[in-house]
Amino acid sequence: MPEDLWKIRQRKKMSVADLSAKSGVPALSIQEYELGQVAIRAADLPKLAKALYVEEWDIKLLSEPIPTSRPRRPSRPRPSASPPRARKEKGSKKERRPPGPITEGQKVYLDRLLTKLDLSREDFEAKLGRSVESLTQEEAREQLKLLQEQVRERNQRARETQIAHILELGKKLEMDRPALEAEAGKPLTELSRREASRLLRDLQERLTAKQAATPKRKRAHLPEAVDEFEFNYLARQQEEGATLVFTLFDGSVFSGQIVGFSPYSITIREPGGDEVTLQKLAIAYYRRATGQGGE
Amino acid sequence: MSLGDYLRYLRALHGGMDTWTIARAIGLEHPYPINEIEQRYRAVGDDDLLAKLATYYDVPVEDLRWRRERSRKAFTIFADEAMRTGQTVRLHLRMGDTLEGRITWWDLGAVGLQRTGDGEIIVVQRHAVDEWESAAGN
Repeated sequence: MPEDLWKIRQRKKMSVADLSAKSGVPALSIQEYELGQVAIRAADLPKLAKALYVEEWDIKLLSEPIPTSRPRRPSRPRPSASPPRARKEKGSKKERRPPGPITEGQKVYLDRLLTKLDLSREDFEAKLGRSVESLTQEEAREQLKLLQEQVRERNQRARETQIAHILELGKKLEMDRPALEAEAGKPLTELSRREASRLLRDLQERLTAKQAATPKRKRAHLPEAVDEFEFNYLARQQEEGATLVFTLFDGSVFSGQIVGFSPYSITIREPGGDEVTLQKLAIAYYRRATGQGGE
Repeated sequence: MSLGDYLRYLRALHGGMDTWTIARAIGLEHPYPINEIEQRYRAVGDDDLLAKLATYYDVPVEDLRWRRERSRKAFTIFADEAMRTGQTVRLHLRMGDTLEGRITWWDLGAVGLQRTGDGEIIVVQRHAVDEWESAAGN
């Protein structure tokens, strides 16, 4: 026989805060459930049951509210002569007001949530099977909660960057989008962030395993920042006193022995004894003068 | 000559102004896109920017696009592959010369080419190379 949530909680000697901490269900939601304001959400029921060590069917989905007044011991008659104040009959339940129709504020909020979910009022009413106007305040509150949940879920959808990363990893694993969606069990755009991150982790692990299985490709050494080869060549030519012939972009030709050089220029002594500094940007190519051998 | 090298060359030809000046002249808020083209080794620069630079320097935009595809990185990959495989290559220089031989080394600024025929080493400055190709099978 299912029992009210609060009854089970009290029997287990737990406070609302304890139950919230143990189940992960927000304390505010538990209070609403216990007050019978809303039915326990399907997602929360197993958490609450687990935290309370009961079966799900042991908990009433819609609790009777916790009685606010406790039976009191009969009090001694007061010495004062004042007439006793009228009291409510003990143990009687507070009479609940009949639920009023949905309020304007609720309607405005409902429309705002529907907009966030790209739903029209008509779509929503069709799903609901009745008009919004026919909802009571309480029913409206329940529907608003459900919509809030959906908005929250939607906001938690996988990021575009996550989807792009999934597709990228898929490509490396030779999996196209349909294959990835089959793996995920739903379209990639409908994945939550958590699902997307789980899928990413899984794909990443598979890729790592695949890469470990394939022999490593030897990466070419591309010394873009190294200028030692030309430096070494020039140093050797200078040491040997070789005569070099320089051809410039404008077609002019200079020849001479190297006096010095930097990354940007080369200074030579021409056969006549003149020193000329050639900017490397002006040089097209150079070589040892014919008949001098060398490399 | 890669696009980056070419733009630096054009800048020098036009008086060596800084890239802020060019950016302002072509309507950019800052010179980063120009700096990026000049400094990066990979093919960078979108068509719009190349069109503006072509107008500014008064050169054909096709020339800039063509050079963009012949980035330093592209030449590096070619030179490295040619050196490792020992294949004969042909380097077409900006001034119209063509040199043929085997690449014995390459680095940041130059390529050591062992010329076909006399085996002479010619040090070719990278910025002088406009186009390159394998001479294999020819």
